[in-house]
Amino acid sequence: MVEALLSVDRVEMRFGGIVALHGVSFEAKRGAVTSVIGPNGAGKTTLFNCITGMYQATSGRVLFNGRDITGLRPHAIARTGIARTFQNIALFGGLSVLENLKIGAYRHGTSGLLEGSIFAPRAQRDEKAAQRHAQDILDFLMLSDIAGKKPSELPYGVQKQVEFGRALMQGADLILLDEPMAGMSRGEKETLVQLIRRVQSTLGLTFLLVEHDMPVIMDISDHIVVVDFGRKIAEGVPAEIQKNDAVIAAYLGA
Amino acid sequence: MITTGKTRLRAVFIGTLLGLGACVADAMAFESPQDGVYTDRIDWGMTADMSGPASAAQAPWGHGFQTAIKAINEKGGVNGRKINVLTEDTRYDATVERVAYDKFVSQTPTLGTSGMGNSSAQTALVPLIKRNKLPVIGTYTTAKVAIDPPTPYFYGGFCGFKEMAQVGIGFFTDHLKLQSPKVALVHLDVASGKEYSSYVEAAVTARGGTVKSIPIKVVAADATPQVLEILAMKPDYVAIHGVPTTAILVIKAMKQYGIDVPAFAITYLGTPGVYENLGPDAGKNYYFVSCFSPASSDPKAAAEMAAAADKAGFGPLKDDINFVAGWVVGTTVAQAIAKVGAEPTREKLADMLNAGFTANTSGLSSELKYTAADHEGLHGLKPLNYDYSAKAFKSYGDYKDFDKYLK
Amino acid sequence: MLSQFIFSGLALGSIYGLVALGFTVIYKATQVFNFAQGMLMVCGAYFAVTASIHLGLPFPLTIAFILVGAGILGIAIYFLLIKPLGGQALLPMIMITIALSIILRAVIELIYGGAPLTLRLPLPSGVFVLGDVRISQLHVTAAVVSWLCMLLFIVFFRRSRAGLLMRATADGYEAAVLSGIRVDRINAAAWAIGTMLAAIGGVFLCQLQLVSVELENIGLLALPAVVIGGLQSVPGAILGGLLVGLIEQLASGYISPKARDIFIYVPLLLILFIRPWGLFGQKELGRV
Repeated sequence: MVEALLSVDRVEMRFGGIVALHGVSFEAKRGAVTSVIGPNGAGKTTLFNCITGMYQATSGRVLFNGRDITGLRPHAIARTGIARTFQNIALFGGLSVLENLKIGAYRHGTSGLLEGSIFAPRAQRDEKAAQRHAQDILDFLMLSDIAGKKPSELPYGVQKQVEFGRALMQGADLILLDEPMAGMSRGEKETLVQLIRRVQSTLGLTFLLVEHDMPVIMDISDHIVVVDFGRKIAEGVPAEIQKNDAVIAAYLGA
Repeated sequence: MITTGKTRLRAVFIGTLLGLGACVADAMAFESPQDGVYTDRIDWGMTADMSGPASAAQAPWGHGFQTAIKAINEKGGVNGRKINVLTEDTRYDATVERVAYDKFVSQTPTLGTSGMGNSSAQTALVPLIKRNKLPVIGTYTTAKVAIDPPTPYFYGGFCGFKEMAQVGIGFFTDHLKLQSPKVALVHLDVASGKEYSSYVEAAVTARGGTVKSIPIKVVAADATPQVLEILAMKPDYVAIHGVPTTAILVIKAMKQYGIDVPAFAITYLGTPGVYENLGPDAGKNYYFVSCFSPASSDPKAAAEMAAAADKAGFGPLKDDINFVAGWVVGTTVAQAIAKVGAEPTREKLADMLNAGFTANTSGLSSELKYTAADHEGLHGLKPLNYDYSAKAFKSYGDYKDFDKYLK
Repeated sequence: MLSQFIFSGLALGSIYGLVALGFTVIYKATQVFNFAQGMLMVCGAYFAVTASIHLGLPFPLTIAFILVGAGILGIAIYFLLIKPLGGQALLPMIMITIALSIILRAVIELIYGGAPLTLRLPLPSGVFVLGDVRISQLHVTAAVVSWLCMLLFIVFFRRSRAGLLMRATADGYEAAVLSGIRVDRINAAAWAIGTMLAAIGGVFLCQLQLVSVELENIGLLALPAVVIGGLQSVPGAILGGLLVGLIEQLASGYISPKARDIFIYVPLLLILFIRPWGLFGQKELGRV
């Protein structure tokens, strides 16, 4: 049995009187691709925000690598090894592709802010390491030729890849992808699916996806969690989910 | 009524006795709370910009006034009563001035009030001052409408702009032996600046000269444009109206552009602070005209004030003409109350001043005299500047020497 | 005449540019339209008074004192006001900065009294004569130091590691947080830098004039400078400041001091109509 890298344990989220998540529990196994699916407004993005610390869950726990990360601040959670991409791309518009990637490496530096402002030797070393790492990732993504471009100059699919690359830069164990396929052409989707597979096999990273594109989900996932109205209504391997009556009623059949 | 002669005699006797007793008690215990007069004290109002943009000049004035009253109280007060000053900080805000004035009229009534250093507030308050009959005695500035025509309830207490222009222009034209003086005037583009500008123009024209009027803003960051105009005009001397900052900017920039002609400023700008900021190089050519004498310019006349200032912790202010002006008004108020007698009221105070009153200012100012027709008070001025090596103000003659320029 | 106006306009404009740059750094980092920028500038002048007069420090230590004091003030403002009250709409944040400037003014008046003070720092005060143009050495010093500070900031912002983090944080708050950046520290640093730049401007202005809370009015010329230059733009703030300085001198010199305000604020209105993101700003990019 492969151990769970991430355990979400009865997480509940209330906004005033509205309950967005009713004690959702599931696990993401190390090295696997786990997907969370469900109709719009089912609470998928809320779930992501509870994991990354953008929201504080009303109750329940989130364990990562066996460590309780519930209640940690977002930057601290990021530093434990969780990276994330956004439903709407959140690249730094004023920064070049290379610089965007370098931001991802920030947590690995040993130098502080003050050193970073005065070009201290330690900061310069960190800077060189980040530069090399970013170039490696760009090579890996086959995007070396756009290193100096601004995100706004790139096609949407490529921006998604850059954002993906920034998540890789963080050296995270777990990468959360929030609707990575939204707005992409078929060719772009194909590229991204290949990329996820390549990263999974060569780097052994764990993925947690929120996605709507059923063919992609069924294709790429090792494990699927279905939520509706803030509750988990099913989970299992793709073949099981496709046959689950509750899922078909709530989602697939719609 | 039928009474015997004996009883009548007795009644008259007792009545006389009672009457006498009442008279004595009255003198001892005269009170008129609606006028701010109590058995042991008199409440007196004072408004000044103790903070805010005009506080640089007005706070020393307020301290001067308070120091004078304190000194008088320590010598026993006025006719057995202490003067209790109620201070209101008006922060250069006409609306605050109005609220403070209303307080002194009825909420915490005072016998009179002093200060009111905001000329727009004065202008706005003139109808109220006439109606409420609270004497305003010794103001930091005097709006024209407040004294022209005179009302029994308003008396100025500072040098007038017209006299500043006349003495300044007269003195410098003669001092530099000019036939037809060319004068550059730098002034704030506010009401008092335009008023001063018209007085300077009249005075220069009377001497057959020409004047160029150059406006500057209160919040100017730099005086280059003004000084370039001065440079282009090549005046014989420069007249300055403004606030300390603008005066400093103009004088410093004149120095920068090598304009080496004397400049004289209005009274308000003759403070140690301005001279200290200018430094000896730029400050040696900077004069001002004043109806008050800073302590160091006449140590003998200022002895009492200087001692009181040191005692009150305002020692460094005694060379500030604003402090001297506050002191002069404080002593004037005390003398006026004393002259009204043991039973002072607002009405009596106003009537007495309106009938004619001259204060003894011990040589710290030119003659301070109110008549039925003239409520401005101070007229005479003299030019002064600062001797950096002696660290003292130096006056160019006596007030009387310059009365010839007044018209 | 003209060259004279241009020189003094550029000198003053450099100071405005410096204060405006501080404004922009703060705005970029925390999206706070800081009406207290003028008062932060005044604080610089009073730090100089404390260091030089009250503590009697020599000039180099006075400079260090001003910079450290301003840095601490900026950090304190960020952690005490901006962060706890942050995330609000533009308007409440503006009200917060207005309240801040009123409080700072009152505190200064409480500590130092309302009267302007004279402070003499050992800065050059003579005159250069170039043909018929006379240039104040203090103006030149102010301009040179302002330009050095601006240059230093740009190198820091564009080339250093901390500058990269600052640019990233300014671009996208959420993405920065989730990339593991300690956004609070970056924002506090931005407030510290913004306050320091303002304070340096304040030191020069109080040398040209008096030390007084009324200098705030001059410091607030940084606001039209940034709006004209572009709220988000670093070069925009600097060029906006220079432009305001030039306009001020030329309008006061050739027309009248009153005209100055018209010539500064009419272009500001035009900019808001035609190019609301400023001369050098960029149209707002989509944000998460």
